[in-house]
Amino acid sequence: MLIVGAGVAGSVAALRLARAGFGVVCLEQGGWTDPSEFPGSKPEWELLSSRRWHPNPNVRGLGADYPCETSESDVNPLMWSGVGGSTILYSAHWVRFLPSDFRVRSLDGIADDWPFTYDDLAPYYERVEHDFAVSGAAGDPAYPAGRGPPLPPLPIGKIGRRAAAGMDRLGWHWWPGPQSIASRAHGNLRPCGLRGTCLTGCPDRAKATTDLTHWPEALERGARLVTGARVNAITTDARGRASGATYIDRAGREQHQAADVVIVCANGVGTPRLLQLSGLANSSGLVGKRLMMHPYAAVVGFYDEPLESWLGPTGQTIQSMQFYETDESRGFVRGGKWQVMSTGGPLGLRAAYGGAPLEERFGESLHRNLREQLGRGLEWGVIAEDLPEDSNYVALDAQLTDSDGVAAPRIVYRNSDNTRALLDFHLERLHEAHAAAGALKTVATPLMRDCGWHLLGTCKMGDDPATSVVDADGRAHDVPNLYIYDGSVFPTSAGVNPSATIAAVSLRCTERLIETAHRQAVPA
Amino acid sequence: MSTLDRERLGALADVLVPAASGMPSATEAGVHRAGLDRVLAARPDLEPLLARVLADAAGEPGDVLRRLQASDEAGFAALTLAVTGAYYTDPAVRRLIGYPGQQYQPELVTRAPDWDEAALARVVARGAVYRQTR
Repeated sequence: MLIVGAGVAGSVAALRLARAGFGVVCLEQGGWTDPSEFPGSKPEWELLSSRRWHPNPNVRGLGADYPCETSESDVNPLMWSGVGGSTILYSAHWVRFLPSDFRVRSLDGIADDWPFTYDDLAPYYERVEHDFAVSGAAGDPAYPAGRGPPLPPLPIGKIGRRAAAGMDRLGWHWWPGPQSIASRAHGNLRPCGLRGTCLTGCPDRAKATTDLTHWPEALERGARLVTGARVNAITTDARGRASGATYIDRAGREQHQAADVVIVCANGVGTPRLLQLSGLANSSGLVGKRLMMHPYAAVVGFYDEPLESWLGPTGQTIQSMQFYETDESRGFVRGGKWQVMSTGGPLGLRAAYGGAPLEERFGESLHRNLREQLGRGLEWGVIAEDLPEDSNYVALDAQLTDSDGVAAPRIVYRNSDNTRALLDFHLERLHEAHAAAGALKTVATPLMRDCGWHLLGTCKMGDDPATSVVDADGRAHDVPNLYIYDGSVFPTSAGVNPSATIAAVSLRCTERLIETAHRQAVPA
Repeated sequence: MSTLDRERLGALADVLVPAASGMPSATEAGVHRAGLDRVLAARPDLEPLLARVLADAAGEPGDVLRRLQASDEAGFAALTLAVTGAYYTDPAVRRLIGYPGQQYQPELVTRAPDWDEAALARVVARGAVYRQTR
């Protein structure tokens, strides 16, 4: 079994296959990252985070990265190339999709239903929550009844309590945020120490990243992980079956890895790019189409008391599903999840003043603003569900290449009228949430450009080969031994962070592959 | 960075970060000396931008800054990031603003649950907020 990409989906598949006794080779374009390299424990953390550890590969520009042409996109795609994939830099929200997310066509008359339901996926959610050390509180009325996360919750801190008090006054839903961060020692993870630098890598080994949670056991069980391997094509035999992949190693040599089965897990940009480079699996014409990236908008509020708002967890302390489900009286369909985030250190605060006159940003104003705002802010943000549209897509760029000369992806992505209406509505409600909590001042970011963490939808899953790229098991309709397990296969994006669902879908698909392996078509 | 560059940086930095409200000025905090060294060690990519800005920074510092902000977005961003980055990584400045930096404090995790249980009970009492699909 050959897996391309050692991020969430590839790591889950590799470990499960290794446990089942299959021979596994994984090709990963990046390398390992030693947690001691992460900048969070250094005084220059904020300076380092804006370059070397930036989530945008175009800013980072490391050798393992590939650039993305984004001049026709409202949002920049964000990712990490290396063992662990984007878990290395993710904020570790670990949130299940809701039941309605699997039935968008049936419920809202738009987009598509998934080929399986929330109930079908629930057992896999439960299992990956253990593997990813999910901490949280059981009993959230935003979900069907269930066992709840395996580890106790992290504290919500002063920012969470202040925000929750506002939600309580409004009678709106809130809940302590579930996250794949260990609140207690768990497997290879140490307990979280609320350092608050999750987005630049966890130097404390408390955040669940698959280099820590999955690969040690997978390697122990015999899986082989080849780093620095930039895959540039999936190869096929005379019958059109996948026979392996070619890749360029760090010495610049082209190598070939043969395989009976190829599983692509290179994210919603990298996976369609590889299929397009290979000229495979695209009889539907949908490879690369329907890109969804979850527009993100936020309102930061500043309060009249010290809130220690540099403490972690960074991603979320509390969350809300109050405006998640469709209410057509609002003038749009679907919704989004809210979360309260910390606001970091003194340099992060400076970003709020971009474009303001010199006297408002600096001089005596600098000291006054900092005194009023450092440690006294909290961010209410919304992850907006964007719907799949053929006009949002990933294609191969005609000029731009990566450092190995392989064509880079071009991203074409514009927000729809539905998305804009959704964001406007939510921004108004976010202001109300701050007002109810007693904010002295608010600063809104209507659409964050560097927010494309969630790369979804570009190799749609479905039952009909004419309208989808892979079936419900992740198998390409056109190539019987080619699979895709990452967020590319999502028919719709939901309005929550997708890592939990990527992991659960990958586990489900992997177990379907194991169950049917005895009749699997293989190359000649 | 040359002595002249550091002097020019210090002059500009003191307009951006003056002594006020009980806080030291940028040069009092060593922004143009050890602070700059600290910034460039972390962000060597800033050096050519700063060199370009400082080569054209003769004149009254306030005028230079206003001109720079209006005409050179990348240069202005590099300069202000270097100055504030140097200033706010100074240990004495951090003590004055009450920012301890990002620290590993596992003892804080045991504070959970640290929320108002009665308020959370009211969330539960209001009932499900998701759509049934069965």
